Amino acid sequence: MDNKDNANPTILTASELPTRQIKKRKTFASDADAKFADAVSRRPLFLSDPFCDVSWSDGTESEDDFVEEPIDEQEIYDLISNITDPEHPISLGQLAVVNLPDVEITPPPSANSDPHALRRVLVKVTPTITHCSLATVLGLGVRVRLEQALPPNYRVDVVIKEGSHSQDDQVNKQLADKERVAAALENDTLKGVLDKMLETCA
Amino acid sequence: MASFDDLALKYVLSDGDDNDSPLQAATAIENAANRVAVGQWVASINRWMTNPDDTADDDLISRAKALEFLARTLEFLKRSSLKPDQVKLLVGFFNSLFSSDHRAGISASSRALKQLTAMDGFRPPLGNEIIMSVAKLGDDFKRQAPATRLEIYGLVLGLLTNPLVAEDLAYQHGSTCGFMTALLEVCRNERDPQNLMKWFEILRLFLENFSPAKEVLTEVFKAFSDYFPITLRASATPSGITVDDLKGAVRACFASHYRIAEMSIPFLLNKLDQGDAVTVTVKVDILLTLEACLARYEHVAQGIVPYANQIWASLKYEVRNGEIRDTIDATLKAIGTLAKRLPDANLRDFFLAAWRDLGDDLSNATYTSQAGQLLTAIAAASPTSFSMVSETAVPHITTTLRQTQSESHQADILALLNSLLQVRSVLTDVAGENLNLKDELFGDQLFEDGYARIWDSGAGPHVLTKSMDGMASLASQRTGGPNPQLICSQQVCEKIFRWLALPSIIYPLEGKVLVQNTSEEDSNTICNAATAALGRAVPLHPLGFQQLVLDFLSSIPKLLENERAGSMDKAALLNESALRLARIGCSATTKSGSPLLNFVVLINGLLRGLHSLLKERPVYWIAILDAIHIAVLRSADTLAVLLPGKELMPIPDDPATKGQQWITRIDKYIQGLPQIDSDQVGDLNLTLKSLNDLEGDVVSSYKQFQGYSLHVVAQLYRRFTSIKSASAVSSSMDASLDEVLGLSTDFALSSSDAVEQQDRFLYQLARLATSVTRSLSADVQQELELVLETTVMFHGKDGKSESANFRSRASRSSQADNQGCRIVFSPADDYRTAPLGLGLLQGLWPSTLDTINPLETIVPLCETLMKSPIQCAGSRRIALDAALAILSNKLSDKQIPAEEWSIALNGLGDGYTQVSRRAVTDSPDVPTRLAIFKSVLHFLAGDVARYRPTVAHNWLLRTICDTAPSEVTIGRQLAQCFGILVSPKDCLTKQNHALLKPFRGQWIYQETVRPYFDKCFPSPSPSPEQSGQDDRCATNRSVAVFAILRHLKYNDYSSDADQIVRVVIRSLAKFGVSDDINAVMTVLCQLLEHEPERLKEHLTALVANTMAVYKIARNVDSSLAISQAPGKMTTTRSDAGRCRHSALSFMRRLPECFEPRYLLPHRVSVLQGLSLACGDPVRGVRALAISGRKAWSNLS
Repeated sequence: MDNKDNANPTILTASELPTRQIKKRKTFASDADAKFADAVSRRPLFLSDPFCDVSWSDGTESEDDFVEEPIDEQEIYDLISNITDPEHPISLGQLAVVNLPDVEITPPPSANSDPHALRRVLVKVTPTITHCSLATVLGLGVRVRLEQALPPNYRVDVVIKEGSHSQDDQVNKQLADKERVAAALENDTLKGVLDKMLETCA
Repeated sequence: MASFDDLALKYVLSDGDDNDSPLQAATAIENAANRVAVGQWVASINRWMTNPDDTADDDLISRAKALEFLARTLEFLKRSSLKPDQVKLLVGFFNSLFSSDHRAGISASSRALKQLTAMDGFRPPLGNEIIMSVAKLGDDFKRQAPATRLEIYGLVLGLLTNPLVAEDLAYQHGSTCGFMTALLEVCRNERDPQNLMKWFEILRLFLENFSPAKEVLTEVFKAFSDYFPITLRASATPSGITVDDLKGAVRACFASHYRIAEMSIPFLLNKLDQGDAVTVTVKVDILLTLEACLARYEHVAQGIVPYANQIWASLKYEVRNGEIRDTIDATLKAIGTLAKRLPDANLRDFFLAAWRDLGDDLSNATYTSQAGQLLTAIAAASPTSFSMVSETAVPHITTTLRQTQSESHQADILALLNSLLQVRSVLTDVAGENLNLKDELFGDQLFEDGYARIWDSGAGPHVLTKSMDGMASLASQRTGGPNPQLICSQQVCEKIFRWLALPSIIYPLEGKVLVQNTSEEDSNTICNAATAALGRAVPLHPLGFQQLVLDFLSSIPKLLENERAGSMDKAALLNESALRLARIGCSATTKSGSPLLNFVVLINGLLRGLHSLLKERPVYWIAILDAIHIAVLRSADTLAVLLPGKELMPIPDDPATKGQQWITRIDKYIQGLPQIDSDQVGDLNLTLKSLNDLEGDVVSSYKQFQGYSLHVVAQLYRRFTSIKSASAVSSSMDASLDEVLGLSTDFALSSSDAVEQQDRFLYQLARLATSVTRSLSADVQQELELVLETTVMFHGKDGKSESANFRSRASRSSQADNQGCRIVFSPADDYRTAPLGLGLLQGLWPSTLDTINPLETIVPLCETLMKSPIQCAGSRRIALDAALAILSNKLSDKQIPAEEWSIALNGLGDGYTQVSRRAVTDSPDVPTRLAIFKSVLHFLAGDVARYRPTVAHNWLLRTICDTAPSEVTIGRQLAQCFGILVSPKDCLTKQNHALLKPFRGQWIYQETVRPYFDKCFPSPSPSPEQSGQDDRCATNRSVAVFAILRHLKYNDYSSDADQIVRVVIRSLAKFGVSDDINAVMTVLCQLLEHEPERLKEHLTALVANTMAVYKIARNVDSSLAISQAPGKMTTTRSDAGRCRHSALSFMRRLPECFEPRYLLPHRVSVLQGLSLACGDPVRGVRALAISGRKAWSNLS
């Protein structure tokens, strides 16, 4: 694509993107420190035997990596923010096409809610310029990614953020039309573009 | 013998290389009685030489071959075979070919001439003739094949490297060097990389060895400089020469002699000044070539001095306006070399010229960093240049620092000052020279004018870190010369230490920050910078480090007073600060006094800190104890690196420093050590003084440190244990003991809810003891009676009469029957001291245990562990189990004969009988039975690690394997315990001197798994009433199998992979949600990784069952969410999470391991399952499901 709609978009650096706050762990200034600290304060091997009822909590390390956490907005954001833009080799997160505040889950996720209940995920996409011809492709990419990564009880809606595109009504109509979406995925060229966009998703 | 004619004909007619004919010809010439033979040999090719002008290709080829025959013969000929006149004649003959036979004769002639030049009869004037003949080739030279040209280059190069020929050439041609002019004419336009390498070498040799006239020099310079900058095109047939080789060869020409300086340096600078037209690679090439010239030109006054200012004028912009690191580095290197080569007077002129630019740039925030780099490059060149630079630059730097307001400018100026200080430190380390390094500039005044001002100005984090870095370097500055002394005054050094201690040690404990309103990240950066700076300064300032330790100790009460933080957080802060102290003090040895100085001061200080915290909660004890442990390990590591040959441990003993002397008398070497068991916190000043006087090489220091470490362990053991009257503790005590060891009163004073932390403290103390004792050699361990210490825990070595009595009684009672001593684990305080005994036992060598009485040790221990109801539980019991494993592993056969071994086994066998006994009224409850069973397995685990394949020896193992999983009520739990046999254990590691046979995995597999595969399936036709039981037994058996297999290596069981797959399939369906499923999955993933082929036939069952496991684990999860109590729920839910994770990991890997055609039949159902799994409650499992879904949907 030689004639890019927006040849010079604003790009955020990786550190500016919203990330999940990782639980604070002890950090060591050097590998040598970690080596010694491991020898001294790691959990003794015999406590890993079955039925071992001796606890070994020192307040710093989480014993259990299998904590239950519902799918939240940040997780949805993480799923779609690393989709590559069809014009530039840059992620949608870095281009601020998808933003954390524009991801909405209803009913809101909570630890005690029924995991099988029907949920709706609404993602508002912000094209980099108001006349972006690839807005539909962007929306389609987000939609396909979420449909591939969310369980069947999640309904995905992708819309263009109000006021961010000159023809947002039309684009929204296309994105909401299931038949047109299905037809678009049958199109080999479009499928190729989408595959390329989703290549960078883990 | 064949005539020369025949040999020549044979050679010419041969297809490939015929070595035989030339060899025969050479032998014939050597054996010939007269000179005629040589004539005949040359004449043998006459028939092909008759018509040199003949252009027929066949004739050309045969003529070339005939000439080659002569050349090859010369290769085989002895160097003394030809007389000088014969050599001359032959040279004449081959020379003539250069003018007469350009098509067939050149290659062979070159080869032949090369041989002739090596002959004894070769006379130097002939060299000139050869070169002049070569020159006659004219334009035909470039038409020769590259290989032929290579021969000619080789010939010329050989002549030029011969000093006699070179001398003759110089004599004959004088400064006109006609031969070179002729060669230049012929050889220009060379393009072959290999030939160019030779050609450049010829030019370099010529420039180095001849004194040509200026015109010739210009010609020669043009010959190689035309190639600069040289590149190499990618070729289909690589020559093996890289572009770097070519660059090096051209560079050597440029740097060959100062005579060409007047051309080379302006040429290079001119190329450099072409601006943007020059690429980075070329620029670096130019700069490195210039650097080579500056480094190698011998006559500095003529070769370098005239161009110094010109070089500076060009190069300064490369740094000043440069952006590419490679270019900047190369420029700085060239400038450094220039400064190094210039004589003092010229250096001063050069520097003054440079300073005119740099002085202004330093005042300008935009160019400070670049000017700093240039100044550092000049300063680092030599001590003279350093004193010149610092004399002018340092006052300017302090002034600029005072005047500037910009933080980045300050940071750049400080970076320059720090670099100068570092350069100075390096120059000071050049011992033995009387250096003038401007000591007066780097003293208190610089501190006051520079760093102190910045510190007081409330600068930001970036400037502060630079300033702290510099202060540490300043405090380490010493005077130049043979007896270096610190330059800064004591007061300034103290002040620096006090300041650096604030962000690194004191403020973190007091809950303050150095710079208000900074982010946590910036605070950490400041803290780490201060720590690193202190680490660099302390090797020269033991007193400063001592003060730091005292500051740390005095801040601890303030930490405890902080009511806002919880005790766990405060303990973590305490530990982090103590670890920082360890990083500061234990990363390097001190420069004067004993290398141990800082190590001992720190550990003494930490012991004092521990003593002051004994009334507080045990979490603080652990924080300090862990820091002591890390300080011990770090210090030992630092010393071990310095050991000759870097051998680690243990060090061989020599009689002079035999164990007892250096270990028991460590307090004689080092005074003022703390004895916290006697409430003495020691005298740090006295310790410092005695360590200052204690000299010694690294090996003896290392031993002293081992002695000191043991001294620390001993006093901690004594402090936290106390001798108690046996009757007061328990009535069921061993009658032979009237006193036993229990916990000290420190534990009684603690609140009861801290018991768990106390036990953890005891474990950590035991770990410290293990680290210290295992570094001692077996002899030393024996000499120190460490086996006895496992029972008496160093009591009796502290000079107190009551404990001495206890020690001697324990020692006497154990040795009364002369059978060696015994290890007793004290039952007092519910066996809570057992981990301490284990800590010492774990680090002992097997040969150290030779002194014990095995029966008296093992049998009582077995009795204790086999008792019902159980005597002790939790971590204490695990410690006793581990001790049992160590004893069964390390006791030698010699020491414990078969009959005694069977006594021990019988005891355990009886214990197992209790486990398997059921439906009897007095049978123990389930937890007791399991505990007893685990103890038995621990004993066997130690034993099988160094298995002995006799049937009599292994009856207990076999009985247990045969019967335990079939136990009706608790068979499943018993089966799960089988993992203990092979699971990794701290006590059974090489590091702790355990006896581990290399093939133990295979042996255990053969004994405990292989015979039982059939039993993993229910019998085909059971009676109806037995079918349920049979099925359960088979499942239990499978549980046992996987509990063992999960810890074995794949190679141990790969031979039975097919059978294992069948058990896997059944187990997936039968195990339900439990940790057992994870064992199955571990084994399955091993199979998939090593031999996926074996799974191919079973994919349908594996896929279906694994997805079913996932589904069940998911459902269990949701049902538990409602039904289970919170505490229980956590464990079980995380178990279920683990199950789901391992199931999906397997599914995720399948598409990578198999071709799609094997998986496509399952694609739809798997994708359906995976899409549901995308809604898993655990985030990690969801991520696996998503990537699995992607992999499976891509199958086609």
